[in-house]
Amino acid sequence: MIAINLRNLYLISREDFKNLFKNPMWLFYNLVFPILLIVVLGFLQKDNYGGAVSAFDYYGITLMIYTVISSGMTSANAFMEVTIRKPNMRIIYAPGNERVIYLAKIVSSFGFCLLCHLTVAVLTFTLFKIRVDAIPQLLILLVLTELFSVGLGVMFCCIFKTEATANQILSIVINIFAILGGLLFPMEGYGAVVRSLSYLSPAKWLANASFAMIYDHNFAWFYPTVMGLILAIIVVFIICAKTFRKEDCIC
Amino acid sequence: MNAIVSVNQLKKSYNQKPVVREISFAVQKGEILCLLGPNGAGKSTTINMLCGILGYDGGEMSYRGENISSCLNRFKRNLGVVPQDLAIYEDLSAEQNVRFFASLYGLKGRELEEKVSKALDFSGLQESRKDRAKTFSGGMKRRLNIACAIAHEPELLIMDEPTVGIDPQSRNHILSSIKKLSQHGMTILYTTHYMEEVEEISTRILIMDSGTIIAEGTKESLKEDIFDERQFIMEIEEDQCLNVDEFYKIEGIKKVEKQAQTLTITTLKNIENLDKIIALVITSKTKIRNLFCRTASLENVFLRLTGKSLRD
Ligand SMILES: Nc1ncnc2c1ncn2[C@@H]1O[C@H](COP(=O)(O)OP(=O)(O)O)[C@@H](O)[C@H]1O
Ligand SMILES: [Mg+2]
Repeated sequence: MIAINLRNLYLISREDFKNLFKNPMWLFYNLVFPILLIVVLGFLQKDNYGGAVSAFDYYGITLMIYTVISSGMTSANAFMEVTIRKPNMRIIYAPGNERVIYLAKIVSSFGFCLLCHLTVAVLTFTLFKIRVDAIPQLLILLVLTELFSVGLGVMFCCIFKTEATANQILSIVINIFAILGGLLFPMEGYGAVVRSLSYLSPAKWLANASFAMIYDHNFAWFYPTVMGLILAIIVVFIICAKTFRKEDCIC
Repeated sequence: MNAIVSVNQLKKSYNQKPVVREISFAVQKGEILCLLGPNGAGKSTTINMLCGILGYDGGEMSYRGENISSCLNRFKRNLGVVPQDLAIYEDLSAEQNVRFFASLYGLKGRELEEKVSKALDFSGLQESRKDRAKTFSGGMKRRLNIACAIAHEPELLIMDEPTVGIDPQSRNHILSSIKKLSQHGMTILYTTHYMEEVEEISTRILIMDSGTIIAEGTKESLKEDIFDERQFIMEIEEDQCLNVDEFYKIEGIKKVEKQAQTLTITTLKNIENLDKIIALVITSKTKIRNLFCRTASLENVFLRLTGKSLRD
């Protein structure tokens, strides 16, 4: 029983993983678009930065965070996109637990996004000489955030039942996270209320933790951020488990 | 009895609206059981509950006498499903599709490859096995949809309207492959709203309408049971001497209609009166050019049972 579930989880994840690579849109979205964003914002803002931190140093990190918290768009697509929904039904007909469906979507999108985003990071960080430090810790943050994001995408599909609604809500949530976290423009100078609100955004914690580690070797933000992410991942998985219904796979 | 699956008092409502109303039936080993009903009758809902993809509000289902929920995986392993809508990956080739779905049933290695190849052969897709499904015609996609359901050689194959919207050639291919599968020992539950398909392949029929099974039997027995009448249709050479009212003196005659050159006589089936009818026509100096007997079609059976026609 466990053997067939694990085997099917592996088979379905592998198939979905390959399918993601066959979709030019998702390759563009996860590989090309982040590089473009970093290049464009890095050049545009070049004159507003100077000294120790260049525009690329800043946007290289924040836009990487932005990209990674957007991974849910990919997992929502891999889960419930119209052309994927129908074959999903066959997975439910097959022996084994139907939960392998959404778990497989999480696993495959996680692998796909992680691979794409690592490539983006390696390319942009070397090309634009973006300063990094504490690489193992940054990698831990990357992996955890990636898992949280793809889980969030699947969770929204489980809650809202269609990819279209899930994606709409998800993109609002992601952009609120990004703006509050100061990923697109700094939020300093917007007053105390905004500043305390900004701590609701995981992006804020990620940005603070990353910059503190890179520039100050300060790990004070790192541990609470890791704990928060692990907690958020657990919550996301619980909500997925509670809201997933195989009926929603019928189409 | 040799029931593979039996369904007892199964019911399902959507927003308080009953869609399947306490239906009971069994699928016997080796048969081609057709579930016939118009769109919206509840066929897919029934099938989806049976395949375990849809929950139900009440009733029981059993597989070989054992409650399905307690042997779900064994049941699923022996079940093949062709869903109403195409359930294939458009970006994968025919072969990759069949291989992937068959592998979910625990097949691997040589055995997997052999069965994939067999299913592709069977569906007439061997030559296009390397082509991506998105390049296929509607009929080929339908056949691939079937290949994905039979590669693991299930004991019971459930097909939900597998021929909707395809060309006659593909439809014939599918119907004859269903008969072939049945000859190889597969048990088949087939839903459709096409009468002709039922006439062609069924060994037994369930007629479903508005969530209930309103009749059950072979195509012959259904026609027998429901119609105690038959019609003689005569093409005659017009003659003024023919008095329609005279026919009603013959035993068993229910209705006589004359329209130009055609005489339609409805009579009780179990009364032998054709000789008297012919004698009357001849004595009226009317020439019979042609005579045929119309027995009920399933279409009539359905019309009689529900007061509405199958086609919408
Ligand atoms: N998810 C659903 N929500 C509400 N009503 C539904 C749903 N699925 C089916 N129905 C209704 O149930 C009835 C039976 O549908 P279905 O089983 O698909 O019929 P068939 O397959 O015989 O055409 C229809 O009236 C349909 O509108
Ligand atoms: Mg249907």
